[in-house]
Amino acid sequence: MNIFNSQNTTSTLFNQRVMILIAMIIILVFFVSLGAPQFISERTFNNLINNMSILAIVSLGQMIVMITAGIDISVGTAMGLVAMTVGLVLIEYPDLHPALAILIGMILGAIMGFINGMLVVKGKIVALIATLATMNIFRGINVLINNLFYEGQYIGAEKLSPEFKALTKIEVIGLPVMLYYVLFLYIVFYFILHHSRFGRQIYAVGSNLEAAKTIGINTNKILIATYSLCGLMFGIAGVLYLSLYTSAQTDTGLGFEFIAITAVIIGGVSVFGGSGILWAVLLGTLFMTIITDSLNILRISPFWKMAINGFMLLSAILINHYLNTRRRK
Amino acid sequence: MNFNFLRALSWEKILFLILISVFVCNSFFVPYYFSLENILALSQSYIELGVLGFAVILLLISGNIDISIAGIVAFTATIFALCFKIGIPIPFCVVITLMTGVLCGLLNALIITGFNIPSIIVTLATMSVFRGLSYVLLKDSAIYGFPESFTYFGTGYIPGTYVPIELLVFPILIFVTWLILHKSTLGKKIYSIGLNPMASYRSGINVKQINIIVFCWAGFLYALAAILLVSRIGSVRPNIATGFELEIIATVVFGGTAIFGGYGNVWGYVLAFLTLVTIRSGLALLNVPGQYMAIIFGVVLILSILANNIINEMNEKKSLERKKGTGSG
Repeated sequence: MNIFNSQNTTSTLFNQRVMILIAMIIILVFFVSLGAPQFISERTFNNLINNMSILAIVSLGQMIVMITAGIDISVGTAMGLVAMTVGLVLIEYPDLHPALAILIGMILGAIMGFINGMLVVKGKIVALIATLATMNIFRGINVLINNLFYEGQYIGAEKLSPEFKALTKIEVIGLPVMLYYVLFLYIVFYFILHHSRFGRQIYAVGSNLEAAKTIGINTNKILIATYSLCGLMFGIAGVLYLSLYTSAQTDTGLGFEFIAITAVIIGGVSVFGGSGILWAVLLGTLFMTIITDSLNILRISPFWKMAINGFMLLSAILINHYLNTRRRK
Repeated sequence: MNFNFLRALSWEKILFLILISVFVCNSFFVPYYFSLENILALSQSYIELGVLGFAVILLLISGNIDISIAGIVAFTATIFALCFKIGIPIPFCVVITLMTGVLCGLLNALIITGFNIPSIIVTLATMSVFRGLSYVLLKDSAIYGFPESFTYFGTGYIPGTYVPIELLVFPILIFVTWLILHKSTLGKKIYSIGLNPMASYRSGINVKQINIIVFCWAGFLYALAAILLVSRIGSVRPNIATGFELEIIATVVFGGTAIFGGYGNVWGYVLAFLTLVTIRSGLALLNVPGQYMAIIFGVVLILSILANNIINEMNEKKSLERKKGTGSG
């Protein structure tokens, strides 16, 4: 595959996959509202947007890692660790400005992502195994700091300042503010991925690592940067999660990585790297959120959640694979 | 000279020294540790995990990675419990469970070989499928009340001694795995496809068939471990065996098996397993919470891959130097 045509394949596929996803979402919403008419209401819409936002931000980071043919399965627990740490900081300093809280989350996330990147690039550990290890380490640290600084209790709404909670709860022109955060981040990433040298280099590294090295791209730097950016994203998501759901527990974010990976793969990111469409990933997160939210509304047992998610992930991988092999032929 | 020294200092010898020193530390610093009955009784808690390792070592050597380990253990345990609940006699339950395990492995293998998708990605998806199915089947209930004749296998001792009955599985599996890996043509083929699947295919090895065999055997062992686990703890919940995949992959890699396939042997694994069991049981007696164990396993996994990489690089450098030496001289 030509390294430099990745942008072209992206734009030609752009319409097709985005259109299919929009059609799928409309069909899904149609059937859900048949079963539960209350699904079409402002309240469910706002809930949906809020739930989607956290997933969309995490998926953004996951996406650029997966474009480089890597994977980060620590994103869920890492998000939980950020939420817990920032929560503990807020308990200690209740008057902390919300912007500072986000900054702390971003720094923490970027450091964790950087560690992942170093392990994968400098340690030459397979991305999945390296992040499997860090995922468990982050989880253990989460329990550890919770026990050390807060005697193992969960962080609840009463401990957080109103300003911090308002961070995600205000409405701007009738829409939840989370939507604006997400759109802002996606537009920034749109310019990074499609209108900057760094973006082209990310796609180049994912399509063919050796070729990218040969034409003089510092692949190590690019890879570490993508993992750190992914960390930045779950850092932001962690703080927003704490503000939105006003809780942080030791098992916060557990299993979240699978929903993010599924959304990203539905969004057309190949598990072999090199391809990925930003707006399709956003629609993928919307699709996954509608499915999980509609389970509650349709009164389907929450125990189906994981199995459905697993089947979605498996079929998304297989369908992507089928589409890719057909295109190559 | 230097090279000979390095070769003499194989990973197994290092592991043996670590094991001895950990054991000595435990005996000095951990109260009540140093007694044969205590050590044997402690070993009982980790046998299921040890059984899984004999599957993982074959998988890793053949160049595969299985993340769905804990998922399959949970699913087969669920099937076992459900069979028991509807009144099927225990021996038939065992047979059905073992068959389910093989089928789970077969499913993994067929998707991997049929669609040519990396095992990491496929098992990442099937992991949540299997775990999710256990949640669907059991909801949040637990099944218990197995007859004493069955739980005796997991909790009883050989009459007149302190040797747990479960422990007998271990030497049998060491012997069988040793036969497969080091004494049979199948073993040679497993190493070969792990080192270079393309070259193996060209030299007439049916790579797909070997992969299917390895995955089915792994599925069988997962089911066996599930039965032993149920027999020891006496109840089945859908969240059974959480985190096993990290622990056992970490242990096998700690035993010197290459994560990319092609290298590894049974003795390294056995030593690594014993070392980690000794560390764990020591920490358990010192009242370290089990959740912190995740940190230790994560760190062990990362450090042992790093150590392996460094040793490999050094060996490559030395052999390159040697080749240069003979070439010029």
